[in-house]
Amino acid sequence: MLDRRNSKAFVRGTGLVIGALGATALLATAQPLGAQTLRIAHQVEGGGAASVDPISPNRFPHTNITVYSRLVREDENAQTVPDLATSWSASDDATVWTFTLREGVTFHNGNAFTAEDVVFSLLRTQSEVIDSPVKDGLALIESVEATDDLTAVFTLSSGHADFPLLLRDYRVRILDAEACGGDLDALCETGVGTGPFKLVELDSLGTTRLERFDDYWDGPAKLEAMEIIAIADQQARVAALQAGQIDAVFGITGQQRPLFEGSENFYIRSVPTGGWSGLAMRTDTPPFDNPALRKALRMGVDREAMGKLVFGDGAFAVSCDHPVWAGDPYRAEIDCPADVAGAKAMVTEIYGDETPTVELFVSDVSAGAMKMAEVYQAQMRTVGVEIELVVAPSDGYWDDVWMQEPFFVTGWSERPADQILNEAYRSTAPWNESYFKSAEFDAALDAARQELDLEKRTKLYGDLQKILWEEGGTLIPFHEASIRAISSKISGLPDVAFYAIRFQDVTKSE
Amino acid sequence: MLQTIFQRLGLSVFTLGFVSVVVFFSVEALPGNICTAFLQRFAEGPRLERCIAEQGLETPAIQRYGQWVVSAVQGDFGTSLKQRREVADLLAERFRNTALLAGAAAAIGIPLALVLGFWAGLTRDRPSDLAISTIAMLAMTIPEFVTASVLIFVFAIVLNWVPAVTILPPSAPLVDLLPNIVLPVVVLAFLMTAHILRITRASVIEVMASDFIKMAQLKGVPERQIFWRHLAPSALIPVVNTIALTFAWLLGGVVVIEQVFNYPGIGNLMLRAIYDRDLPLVQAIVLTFALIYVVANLLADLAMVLLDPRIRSAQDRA
Amino acid sequence: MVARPRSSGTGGPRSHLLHRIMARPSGVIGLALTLFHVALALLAPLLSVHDVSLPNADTINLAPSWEHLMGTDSLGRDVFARVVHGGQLALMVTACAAAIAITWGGSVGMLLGVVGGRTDEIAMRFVDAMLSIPSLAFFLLMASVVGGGAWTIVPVLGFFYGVAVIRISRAATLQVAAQDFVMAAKARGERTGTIMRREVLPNVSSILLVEGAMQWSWMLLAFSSLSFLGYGATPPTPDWGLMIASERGLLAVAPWSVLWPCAALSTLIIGINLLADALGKALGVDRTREVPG
Repeated sequence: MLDRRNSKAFVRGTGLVIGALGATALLATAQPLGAQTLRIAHQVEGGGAASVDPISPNRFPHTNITVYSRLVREDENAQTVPDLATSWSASDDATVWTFTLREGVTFHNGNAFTAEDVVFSLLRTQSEVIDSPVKDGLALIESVEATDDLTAVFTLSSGHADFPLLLRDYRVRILDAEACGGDLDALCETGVGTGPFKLVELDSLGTTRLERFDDYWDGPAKLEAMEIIAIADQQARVAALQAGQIDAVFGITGQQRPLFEGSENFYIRSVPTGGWSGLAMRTDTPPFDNPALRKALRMGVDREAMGKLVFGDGAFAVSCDHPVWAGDPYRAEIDCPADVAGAKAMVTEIYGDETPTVELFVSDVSAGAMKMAEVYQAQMRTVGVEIELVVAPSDGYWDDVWMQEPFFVTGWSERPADQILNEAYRSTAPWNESYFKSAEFDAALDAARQELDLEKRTKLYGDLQKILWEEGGTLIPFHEASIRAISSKISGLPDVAFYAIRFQDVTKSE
Repeated sequence: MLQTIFQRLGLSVFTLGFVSVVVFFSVEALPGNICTAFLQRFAEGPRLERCIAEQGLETPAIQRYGQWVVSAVQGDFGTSLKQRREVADLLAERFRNTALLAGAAAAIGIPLALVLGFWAGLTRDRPSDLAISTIAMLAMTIPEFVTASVLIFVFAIVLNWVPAVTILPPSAPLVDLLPNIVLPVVVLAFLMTAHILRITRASVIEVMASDFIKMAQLKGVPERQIFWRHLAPSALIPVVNTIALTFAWLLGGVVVIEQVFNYPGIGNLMLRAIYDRDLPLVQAIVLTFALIYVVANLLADLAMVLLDPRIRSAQDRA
Repeated sequence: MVARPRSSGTGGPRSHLLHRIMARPSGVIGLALTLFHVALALLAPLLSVHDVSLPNADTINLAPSWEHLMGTDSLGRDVFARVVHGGQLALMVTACAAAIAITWGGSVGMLLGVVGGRTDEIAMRFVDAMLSIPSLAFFLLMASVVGGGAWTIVPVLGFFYGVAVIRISRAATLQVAAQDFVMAAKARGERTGTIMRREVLPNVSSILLVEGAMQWSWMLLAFSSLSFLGYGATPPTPDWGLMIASERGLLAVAPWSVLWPCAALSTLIIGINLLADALGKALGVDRTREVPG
């Protein structure tokens, strides 16, 4: 044919273009990204607003947990162990607590860590201006005093037998009073902490970079650097891990497990945690202001089947809407097999023969959120309630949907019993997502934390959980095991909740 | 010739004006307004009042439309409701990224489509034509999100040649974006090639059947000369037009492709804006899409004037 | 360039038309695929014994077997059942939208062709301007105005694709309008509506039919994109676009739950497309110039 030669030239030319493009791509990916750099993803929860002030409502936990340290931390057996405090003791009525601090600790700017920094960091949690989510939890602190450079004394308004547990909160971290200018009412976003990594570049929509702090009190971290990369979409995070763009995803679904199982490039860890995803109803908003409807919407759920579908066998532990997980000494024993008939009867009593329709706002915010909502929808159909799923974007979900819509997906990381009960259910708590208001419940909360007898305290905390099962607005079908997919290059990641991971012990091989 | 160009320019301005009317008033036709759409059940009290004041909703629609157009011409699209940033700034950085994607796809897709289209057209109904046409058909009917997912699986996950998804912010340097565009460009170029080559093939077949080519062949004009002098220019005229038309269609594909590859372009921004019910941002993006289309069409028109001596001379005489 | 004379559709008996369609291999394939899919959609409840939406924890991501011909998805649902049901909604939605598009686009196009003159010229400028809005962007804008959902999208699809039909219908009408019998009718002072119905419609109907089928196939693709993005079908409706969207991350583990819905969608589009093409050739309609849109 007449144009054969020319078309060949054309084809060759286009081939060159494609080839060139491919070559640039390969060159660019082949560039060393810092041999000892751990790359992990975060979900852009704050929709771009990310603060390195650990108690800011917009806190950026992925960065803050490695940049700042706490007085005490949890070990791998969930026991409270020293971090910046080396020892502590309480007065007999548990109202005065004395903490002895570690010597020779320096901040990233070279300042020495002293008791004044503890006073500053704890007092600012009570600022009205900052209005921190930890404010209510620590409201019992009446005063903090530095009796000498390495001793801090806390006076509480009422006794709290487990006070160090409150200081274990992942957000209660020690800042440098001097770098923050000593202003208790101002956010402190200097990024100067005593942690194993220091902040180099903060870009919450792109890549946040942390580098090893050579003067860390426990010896420098094994990694040279950490990169925390914004990837809002769960599927995109998993794809990025599969392609080697990041080193680990700390929450894959049971369905995604086979993507990594049997591959020599990855390994999977299933870590039982106190973290949970749930469905929260606003108890102040119709139709959820009706306790009977709330109960029906919760007790008709087959939690075992839901867990298997969402996370897979053995990757969850059933809960009966109690936020306290099985690993917690204060967990109450409640039994909640699916009671479809009972739930159906309650729905019929409220609505008669008509099938009510309720909107449920969901988003791909955690590994199982979407699947959970879909399974919930199917299960509720057997109860006679039509659930309409409204899918919201994952970025900015916590600002726009959570606690705004009447019925929505929620999720919490692991917290000790006293903390989660106070933070999510006390009438005045800012994160009381179900708007659960009960004076009786609040009073019982106070009584529990003041009770010095362990057995009685356990019973009091147990009663609180039973109240939630009867009247609460939050469906907590199970506590999740966190299924992690990790690149084989990474070792030293302990099987603990994300916020308890000590990244200084992690290593990466090439 | 100048007159033609001015005519086309005028037409482009008219088109953009009309699109702006459609985009603006289709939102006005809403029960409620931009603010109630955005705030939904929280559209009450000070929150609503502040939004209404910020968006200047007290003024009549006609007046607001005028202001919107005047500022849009100056490159000011107002403020995004959700992201609380200048729409123009948001658009600017992402426009660059989408332009990179579409530009690279066009640079590969158009020449490839022309070569394959001519080849298929000149070897009509023979194996090469059947193969090319079948692949084109498949390329057009397999949704781009499937092609994209399969490519990610093969080239990013199994072979590890390129990144699977883009994990860079919209303002990332172009050099850093390059490895990330390889797969989306391939998907986009694949689609583009299929569409343009089908038209090219049809056009070549039609021109080859026309009298003046047959005449030239009978006269014994060398084949190479027939191809370059007669066939190529005539066959290209409808193709050039299609390239512009295909562009509008492809911009829709860009939305899906950017979503699959997590690519920080305009399409991705549009999906976010729609999720957020951020209508000022959505309006600006649709208008931007129309602008891209109009510019592409204008270029196609100009190319056509240059390609076709008959249009050129006819217009000059008129 | 040489304009090819456009023969107006001559109709002919049905069997004759079918014969002409079947004369080409592409026509046979197109007709077979289309009929196959329509039959599948109609017989879906009889074909599958499994529930389409009920999750089952014991049958997650199973490979194809006799029990589950196309395997199961990540919620343990039978992919075959979902694939055969997955076309129903898409077919209904797009068929309605195609009917709207042809009706309104066809009549406006005919009207403009008959009336001609200034009105026609100005109206066509608007039509061209409308076509410069990328279709998916327009659908998404409308979805954000009227809210998503499969059925709210019908008038939007119908309206937008109808704009493209206006051009075709008008061009076809212009061919007819220049002919003697239309001139004569005009001279007799017949109403425009009467002329359109009696003289023009019979002559452009075959073009509209072919165009409608063609638009229908592209609407299916657009609808699947909308479902994929979350603005078409909603869970747990079995829908091909939606199935692909939710399972595409598991391509490595359970490729069947992505590839089967994709195969179903593509074969339907190819089928309708080939059928429309063959129909066009059988009716003598030249549509080599058309762009999907």
